[in-house]
Amino acid sequence: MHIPDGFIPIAQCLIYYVILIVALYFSVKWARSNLDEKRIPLLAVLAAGIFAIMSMNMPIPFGTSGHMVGGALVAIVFLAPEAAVLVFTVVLLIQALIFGDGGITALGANVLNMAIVGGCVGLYTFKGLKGIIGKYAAAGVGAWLATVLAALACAIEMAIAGTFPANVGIPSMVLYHFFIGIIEAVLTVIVLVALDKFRPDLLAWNKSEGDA
Amino acid sequence: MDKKDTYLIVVAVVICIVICCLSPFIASPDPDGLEKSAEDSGLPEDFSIEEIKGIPGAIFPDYAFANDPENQVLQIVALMLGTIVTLVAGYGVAAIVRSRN
Repeated sequence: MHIPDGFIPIAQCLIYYVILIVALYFSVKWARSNLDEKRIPLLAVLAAGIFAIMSMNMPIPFGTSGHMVGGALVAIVFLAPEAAVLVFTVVLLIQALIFGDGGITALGANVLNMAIVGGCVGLYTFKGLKGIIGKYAAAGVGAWLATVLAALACAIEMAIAGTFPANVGIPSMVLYHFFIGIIEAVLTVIVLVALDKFRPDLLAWNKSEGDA
Repeated sequence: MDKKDTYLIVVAVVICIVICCLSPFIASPDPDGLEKSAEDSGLPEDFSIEEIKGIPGAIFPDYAFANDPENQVLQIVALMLGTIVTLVAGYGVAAIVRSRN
């Protein structure tokens, strides 16, 4: 769901950039008190892994394809949507500048959808459901919902931009991402299971079970 | 960096290399959800809502070498370069903003 240059008028892009700057302020503040030295490699490999997996478009129905995004995963691993904002600002900036994937002008909107909406929806769905259905199922549902609601946010932005109308954009985006979200859920759970098995010390949920 | 963290990075890089080597061959060429939604709304492929000037061209447009975009080996090279740049940038950003206490 990388929005390219030309899909959002510049004046509206500036508003999304303001949101990005505010989000980065809070993310840096979070990192200064929560990102300890041993989680630096974790953040780096999540960024690299997300860059790589985004190249792997998988087929879904309706002649469409989709790839994992990873906003919910990063937010759940660190129990902080701020971590997703840091990771996605790096990944999306590199994709936009070097690979022409996602617009440079649309960077703010893309971080908003994939990291802020995706990260918050994923994390808070996970937190709300983990006591009821277990942490992996909760992470899967969170990742699925994160994808669908990020797509909804994107469709609303497209409608505000006048690029495509809400009555076409919202049903299309939600329908396609209903399926793309399944890919997101499966891969998010696989990564969490692997981290919990091999590096449980890196998962924030093992550190702060009480307040998580 | 202790041994466990070196191991984490090595394993992650190996997984990324596998993904980068497979992607040019097995990734679906179909439009993604946003592109397909734009098609559903009847937008032309080169749609732009307003003229935007001064955007630098990408070095590797669409994860390929501009002078040989169909070359899958070069696509793998582009993806691997991107992965390494992202790993280094992610590490750098995290090291700069990390907590000091």
